[in-house]
Amino acid sequence: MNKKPRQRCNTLNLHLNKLFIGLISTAILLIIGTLSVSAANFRVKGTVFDEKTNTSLLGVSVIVEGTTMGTVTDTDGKFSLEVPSSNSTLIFSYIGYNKQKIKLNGQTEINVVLSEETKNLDEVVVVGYGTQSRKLVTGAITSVNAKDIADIPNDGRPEMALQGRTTGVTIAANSGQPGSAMTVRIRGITSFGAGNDPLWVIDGIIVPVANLDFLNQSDIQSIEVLKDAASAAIYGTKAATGVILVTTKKGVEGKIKVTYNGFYGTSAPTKLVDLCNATQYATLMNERSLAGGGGIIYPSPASLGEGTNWQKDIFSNNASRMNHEVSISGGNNNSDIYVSLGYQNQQGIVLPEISSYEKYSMRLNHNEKFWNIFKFGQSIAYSRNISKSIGVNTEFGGAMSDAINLDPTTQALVPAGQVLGSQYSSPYIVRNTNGLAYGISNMVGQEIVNPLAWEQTQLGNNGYSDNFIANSYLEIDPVEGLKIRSQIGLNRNYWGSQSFTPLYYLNSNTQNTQHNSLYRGDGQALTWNLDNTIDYTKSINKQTFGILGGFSVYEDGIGNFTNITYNNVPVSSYQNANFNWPNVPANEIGNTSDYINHRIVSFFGRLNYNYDERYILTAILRADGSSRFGANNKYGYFPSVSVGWVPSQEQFWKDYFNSDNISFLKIRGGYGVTGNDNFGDFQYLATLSGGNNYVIGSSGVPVIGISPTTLDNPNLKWERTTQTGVGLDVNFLRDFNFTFDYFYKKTTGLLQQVPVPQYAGVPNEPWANVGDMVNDGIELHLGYTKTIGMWKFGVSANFSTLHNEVTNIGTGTPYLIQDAASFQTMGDVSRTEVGYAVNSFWGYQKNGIFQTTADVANYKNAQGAELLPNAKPGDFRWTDTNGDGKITADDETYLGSPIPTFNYGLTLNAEWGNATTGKIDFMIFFQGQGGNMIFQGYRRLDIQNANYPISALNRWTGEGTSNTYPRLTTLDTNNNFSNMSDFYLEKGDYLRVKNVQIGYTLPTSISNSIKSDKIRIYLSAENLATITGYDGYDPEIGGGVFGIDKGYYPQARTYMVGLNLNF
Amino acid sequence: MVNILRKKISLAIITGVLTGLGMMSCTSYLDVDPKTSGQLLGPSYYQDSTQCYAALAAAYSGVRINSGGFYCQLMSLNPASDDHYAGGGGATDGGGLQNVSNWTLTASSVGDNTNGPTYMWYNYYIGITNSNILLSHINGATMSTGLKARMTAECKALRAFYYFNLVRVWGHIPLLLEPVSAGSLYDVLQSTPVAVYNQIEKDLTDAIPDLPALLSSAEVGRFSQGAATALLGKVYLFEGDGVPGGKNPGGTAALPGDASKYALAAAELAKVNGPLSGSTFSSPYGYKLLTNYADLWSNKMTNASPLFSNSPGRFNSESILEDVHSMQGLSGWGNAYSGSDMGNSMNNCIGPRSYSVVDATKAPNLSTLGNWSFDVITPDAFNFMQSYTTGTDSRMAATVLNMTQLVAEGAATYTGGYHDTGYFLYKFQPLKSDETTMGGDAVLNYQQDTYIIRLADTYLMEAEALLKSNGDQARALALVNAIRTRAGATPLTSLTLQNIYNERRMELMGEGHRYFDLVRTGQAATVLATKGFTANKNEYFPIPFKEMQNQNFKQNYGY
Repeated sequence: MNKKPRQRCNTLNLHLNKLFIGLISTAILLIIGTLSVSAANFRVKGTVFDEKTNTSLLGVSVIVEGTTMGTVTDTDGKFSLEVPSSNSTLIFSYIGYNKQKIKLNGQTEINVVLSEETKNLDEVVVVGYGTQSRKLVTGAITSVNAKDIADIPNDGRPEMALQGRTTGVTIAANSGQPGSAMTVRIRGITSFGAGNDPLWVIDGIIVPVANLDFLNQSDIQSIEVLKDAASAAIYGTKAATGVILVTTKKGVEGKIKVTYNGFYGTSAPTKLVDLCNATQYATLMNERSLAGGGGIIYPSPASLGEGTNWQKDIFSNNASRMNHEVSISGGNNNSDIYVSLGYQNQQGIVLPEISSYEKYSMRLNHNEKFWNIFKFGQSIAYSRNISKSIGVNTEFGGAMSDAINLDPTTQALVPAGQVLGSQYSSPYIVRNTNGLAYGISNMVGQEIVNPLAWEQTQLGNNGYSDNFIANSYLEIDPVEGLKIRSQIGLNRNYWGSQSFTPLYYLNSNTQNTQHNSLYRGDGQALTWNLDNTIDYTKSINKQTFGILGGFSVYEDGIGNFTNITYNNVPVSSYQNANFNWPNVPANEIGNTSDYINHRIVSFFGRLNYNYDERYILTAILRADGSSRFGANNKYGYFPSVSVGWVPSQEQFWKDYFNSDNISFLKIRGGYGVTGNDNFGDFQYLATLSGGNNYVIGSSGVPVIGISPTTLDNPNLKWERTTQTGVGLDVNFLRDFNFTFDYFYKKTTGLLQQVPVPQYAGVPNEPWANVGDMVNDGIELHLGYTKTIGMWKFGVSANFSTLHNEVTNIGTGTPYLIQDAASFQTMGDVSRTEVGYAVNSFWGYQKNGIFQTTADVANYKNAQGAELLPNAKPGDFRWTDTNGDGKITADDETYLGSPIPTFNYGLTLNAEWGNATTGKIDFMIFFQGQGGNMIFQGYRRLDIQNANYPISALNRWTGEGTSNTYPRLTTLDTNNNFSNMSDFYLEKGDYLRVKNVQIGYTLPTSISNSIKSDKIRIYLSAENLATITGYDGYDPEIGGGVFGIDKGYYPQARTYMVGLNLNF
Repeated sequence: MVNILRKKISLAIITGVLTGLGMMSCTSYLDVDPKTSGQLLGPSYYQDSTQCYAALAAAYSGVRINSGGFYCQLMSLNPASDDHYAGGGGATDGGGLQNVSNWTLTASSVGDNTNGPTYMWYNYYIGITNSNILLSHINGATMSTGLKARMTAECKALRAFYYFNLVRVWGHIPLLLEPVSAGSLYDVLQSTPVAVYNQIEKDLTDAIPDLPALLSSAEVGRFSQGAATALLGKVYLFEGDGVPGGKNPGGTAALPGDASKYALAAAELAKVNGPLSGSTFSSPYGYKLLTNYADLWSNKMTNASPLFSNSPGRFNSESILEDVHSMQGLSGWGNAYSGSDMGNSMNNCIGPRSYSVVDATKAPNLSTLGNWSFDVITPDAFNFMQSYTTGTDSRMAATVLNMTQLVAEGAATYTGGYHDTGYFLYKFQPLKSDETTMGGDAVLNYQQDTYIIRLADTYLMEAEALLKSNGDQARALALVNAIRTRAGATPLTSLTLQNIYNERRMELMGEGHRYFDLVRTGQAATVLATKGFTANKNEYFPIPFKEMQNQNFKQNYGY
């Protein structure tokens, strides 16, 4: 047998392959028995290559189909064989590779490329302070590997790689602003006030979410999501929100490899919101004015035509986007090295002049063995980004809100020769380079201004971030199975922003006519963690033990932030603005503050045991001490245990089942506890602070008043999440694999600021452990891979559900609004109430529209009193949900949850070709979620004359005209628009064609001619199409509360052409 | 052999490293010292006069709420009277204020620290807590007995002032005389208005002797003997009247009038106003009416020069207790309306929307930075002033910014807000020249001080107390006529209580007195009926929702 000791641990794989080869041999023998042996009269030779590395393969078995004739390849991968006929078929097989049949058709020399079998059982999974064979994993861990993300466009952030590819993870972009983070929630939401972002550990370094953009996508070897407590408890401290482990690439033994991945593309919005044009707007304004008792505002709406389309003015249809990543790697027996450089430049689709992102990055990963038993290494990454970002998802100004609310009757630019009205009298009105004034609306005011003029005031604003993220370790393997390792990781981050605020007059409420100002803010922070572990593995007969002990220290909050503002800088444009201009001290205002150290000390241990890879046990215990708790509860203890059973390893299974049907089956389950201390410092104490100040003395200088900020709570303790889960992994019908998980997660003692009576006399509500919440769901993943001749197919589909429910919020309040979403004068639109998902939407429920005065009069309670006596035809019929015979705030009711209740992804791959023909590959990736509601709050309620979405054209204008959109009037006495109600909610379900890609890998004959191993060119599209019933720009809306759309910066559709080169 | 040796060495190294780190990890590593992070701890503070002074400033901070903060006392209580509507941008703008304006207050709509009149409750209780904290620590501090006595007196005067505002608005409030701990928070009980008034009297009586008669320029804004005496006189007057129609939760009268207090009121106020000589009064504290009524609001940016002189500006001779503001807080929207926002919020809130000058000779040069059109003057108040004006009375012109007229004259334009009447409160209009010259957001950094008690008020209160206690009628008439004469109005020849009520409305319009006056004199039920006032209920605001989470609490009658 051609038993090449590739991977010692893959004994199961060997089993399967033995079985497989045995079966084939049996079949062949049977066939031989029935066939007569032909004479050998034809010689064929050739070479067998590995598809990936393009190197020749030694020991590949070559058998003539239907005979016993065969040979194996030599050290150069060559073979030579006599075959019965020029039409014979050869079968090439090799452990760990897909079998291939080739019909000779008269060829005397053939080159054969074998591809590796993609059975994820052989994978090694990173589990936190170590790795584990996938087949021995008893927790719920989802992995994304380099090859899964190789083809998706680099977005500059690693979160994108998880979206639609991992079960149990809900992900939504926070904004289409380039470089912006995404909201990631693993198995739901577990906290009110202590953060819900997962813990990101990159090569063992704990990295704050904000700094994740330092990673180059091409540098990622794998991402593991530890979803359940049984896996994550090893990171007890912050593991309640899930843990994401990212491992970067390292050099591989062999020749030096150079790779280049890059693309260039252009982006455009996928959709504009339908808003009224000038004629429609004027018609509606007239109508609502008349209805409110006013007069006609626009005598001739039709004469206004289309007016200004503000959206077209702010959106760019060809924002550029490019990304280049180069790496050099290699290694020998003792050392390996991986070096990479990256550059990303991306313009936003909204006002790209002031919305862009640029990043430079570099990395060095190096590992070295010495004196046989020592190993050391480091990974050092540095990145710098420069960003220009505009306020996103706010109704109070900003380009999106302007474009939506500003009336279309205002001119974008006042043409030359037109006399300027009185609102242009300020010397600080904004003009373009030709001296033409930007239009100022006399209909819509406050923060809503001409976005093009606003852009001019923002040109001098930009931000930067410098990130230095590194680790260094020393490892000693003194005896077989024992590993002692000490690693230090740190993240040094410098960031800041600079802005110049010129003198400007955008409208009577939005102006800066006093003095210009130049601002600079610079922050710096250091986060570090030190981990020492000792790990021992021992196999005795069929039993394998692994024991890990560790100690770690973590600290963040080392740093400070300083900002300074210079007023009255003697320049008028941002190009000239500079802090070196002489200025008087009174114009120089600065602030600085220190961060507060947050420290965690941890001790942890893990026991792994398996018997014959049939019965598996993993147990973890972690103890964490945090500086955020007082002496009463400084330490938290986080245990977990999980077990697995692999029936397919049992003899009876092998005896009674055809292992081709179900070749692998693992049933697993676990229970564990994790914690969360991600809230403010010193909350267990009543510290004193300045802030209740008063002006004493004629100088006007405030005296800083020192007083307690809150009441103390010495019993404050860890937020505690317990999680129970069961799952199974199965490989069946050769080509399929399937994973199922169910989890139930309960968080108790939620950290939150509790409302206390205000006679407590302190400005801040004290923190306490009050409240419980549960999350549960199921997660399904199905994979399929198949090779048929020159064709290769792959399907990966996943589906997850999530149910979030608050079960206790403590006494003293019917619901919580601390972290609620709020909207303009409406106030809070979401609340947290027992029995519903956290931050669910609450408001009035409409039940159609009153069509006639009789309808209003007939809307009575049981006592015969009119429920809405002041309503008029065209107004909403608010539902008396509590049946008390009155329409009051008590009728506000549950209207839906912003949290998607399911999400899914589907990736389809197809590839055709071989090294000779070149290869064409195709990938399409769908992703979607749903079950949630989106709050669509585009229009400013308090600005009477703001433009309307086109849906307002379907307003009620008389009996029978509409039962969904109320009448328009300046006197909204029924609060049709000012009440939070289901009128503002829409379903958030969507299915998105996230990526499509078609690539061509040139034949090796061509690539080899320029000494390249691989040349692949591709065309790719991102966000090609979205199927949704949602009316707004984009149904994918992240943030503290999902699905709050106040004029959301949408994600772009991008077309790209790219190149992968390997040398 | 070499290998084994290496192994031994390496094990020793690792053991050493681990042990070292293990020692470093001892629990003290987790005890981040709050002090090194700039965090002060209560028990170790209040050591000396500097620290006590900082604590005292925190006790004073609540005074800022007269006109600081969107839901400041003037914003919250002016619309409760017949002189103002809440106004604003729309029917829901400043929701809590609209509920005051149309008397639809409920425990929820009265708001909390950010969104309703309960802003007062919240801030005054912070002031009370901070007073109580200093009172409980001051004896342990190292400083002179004189200074201790003064700060103690100030804390008591402040506490009395805060309770006086709270008891007038809410009646049944918890009377806390020492800091409350987290553990006993829900054991707190409500007090009766009578008990609260008793404590206010006691605190002021205790405080007065230890307060300074005169304030240096570095001390202005603090309590003086005159201020505490004036306040005590006012407290007595309110006790004399009681709250007609106001009920305890059980339905009995909450605060029956105690006529015996009128004489006490007149006596205390006389100490402030001083003896009559000729037609003028000479206050022992140097208080004098300003010569021109309009000067009370004419210079918002600078101090009277010199301080306490008869010239316009802050700390002028008519000012007894004033709410001090400054642009030097550099307030921004990040700390807007918090304890570190030192601006006057009224100015921005009450300006006409989208104001624009057409004829600068006729229209005032108002700021156009914000202007939210709150606190508009009702037609009823406008008509009252018009009909009440006699002689060359300058008060209407100084009180009402008549936009209707300015627009008609083509002098200025504006956009009507909600409940627009065309009449704006002139006393606090933001002038272009009032805009900050420093950092922060301009609309948050107006620095006009507002009078909490000014001499005209103590004159009128004394006159009223004299009438109600059958005191010196001639002195009462002289007090009222001093005010009328100063304003240019024809002097009265005889005096009735209604004369005084009218005079108070005329003189003090927009300064936050009218609602309280209507309630204590029993006129609220009739005068405010058209605005929705319900007798035997709206004499007190509802106890806020958050406070009612204390199961011991009882809601005010009728809510």
